[in-house]
Amino acid sequence: MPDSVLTVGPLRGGAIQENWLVKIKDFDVEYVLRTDAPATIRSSHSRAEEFRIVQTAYAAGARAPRPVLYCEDATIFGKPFALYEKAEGVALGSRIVKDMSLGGDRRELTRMLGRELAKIHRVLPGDPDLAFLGVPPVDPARTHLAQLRDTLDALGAKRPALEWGLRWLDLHLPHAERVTLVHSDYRTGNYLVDDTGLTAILDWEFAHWGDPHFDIAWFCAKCWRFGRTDLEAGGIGPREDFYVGYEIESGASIDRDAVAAYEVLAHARWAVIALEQGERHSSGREPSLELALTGRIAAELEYEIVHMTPPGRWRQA
Amino acid sequence: MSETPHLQTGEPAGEDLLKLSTSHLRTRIAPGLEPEARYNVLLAARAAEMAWRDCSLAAAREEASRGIARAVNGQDPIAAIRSGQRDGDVVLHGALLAMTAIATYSTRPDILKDKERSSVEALCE
Repeated sequence: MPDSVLTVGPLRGGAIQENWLVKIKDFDVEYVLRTDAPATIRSSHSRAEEFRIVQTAYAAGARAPRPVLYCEDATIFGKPFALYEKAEGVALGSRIVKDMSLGGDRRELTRMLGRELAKIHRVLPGDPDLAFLGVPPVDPARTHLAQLRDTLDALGAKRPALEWGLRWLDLHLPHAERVTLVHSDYRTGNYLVDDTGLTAILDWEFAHWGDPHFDIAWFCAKCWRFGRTDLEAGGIGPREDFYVGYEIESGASIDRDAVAAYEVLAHARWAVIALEQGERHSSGREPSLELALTGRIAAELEYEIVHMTPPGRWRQA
Repeated sequence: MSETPHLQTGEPAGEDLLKLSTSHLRTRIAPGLEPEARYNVLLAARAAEMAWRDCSLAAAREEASRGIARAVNGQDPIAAIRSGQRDGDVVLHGALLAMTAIATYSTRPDILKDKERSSVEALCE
């Protein structure tokens, strides 16, 4: 490590990647260095790909941390890493929903988060910097369902309740009317707020081409409200405020029925990710009580899925 | 002191010790710790509580699994659901509700509806 680097220490947060705080001599700005964790999950991009996604989103006006550099040279830090300017604020979802001194005016914050999401959705397929994301799927929803089933099969997970939800989604997810860059983990817990409002959108490692309703539903899904189930937009504000911000910024209308279906997908997807996280522990690759307990979250998500998909809410194939 | 490894009359049972130790961690240890250590102690207490509820519901889980097998007439539930043979099936949905309520009682009993929680508590051994 060069002499000008004053301190490097691990940062909490980032359940899937490793984050380090970096201070450089004579620089006022602090930096966050991101590297791959010892084990990761299937749908997560590499740090190099994530860096290019953040660069593209930042250039499109999204409030991402300013990307500084990506370094392939493993002799510097022991493995490749990406460096970003450190944005100030609090990300912890359970704190943000309770601590009203954070985030500024909550209705304005909710609308702002809708507007920021619309900016991300301005990035469209064909951007050469994002060629590694591949050709956009013809039917993103069903492509995603197939990936979830593949992951369950790879894990050897036999989960009838989750399968029930995935089958319901086969029949009820709409076909996408437009395909954009979707952040894929846009939720409370993955943005920073200070006492005045939003400072940055974090955690871009799952971004892909998809239906924008995917992100809208992920943000509003009950499983990401941190106990404030009454505040349907991420546990911080009314759903309609979030929608208003999004619709004003994008000029596009949100299909409320599509969001409702995608909220079932949000629970199913989080359940599969939780099982993957649990497997990082149970495989012995990364023994961790935190990962083990994350694996157990799948049960409560399945409970919600089964409640959201009663027989009366099924249409015939 | 007893010379036998088996519990004698008047000795606290293992489940009591587990409940006591998690309560001790939550109420006596955690409050005095720094945030990072407190978080880890509460995580450990939560895991122990889950493990205890898992044990008390082992038989109920097995019965719930049998309920799902009955609902799909002994077929592989995963194959039956994926094929669409059980789309909107009322009996299977009921069996899945029962299974997921039991599993959720282990991890997050607070999110169950009151009636569901009472039903699952009645199954605890």
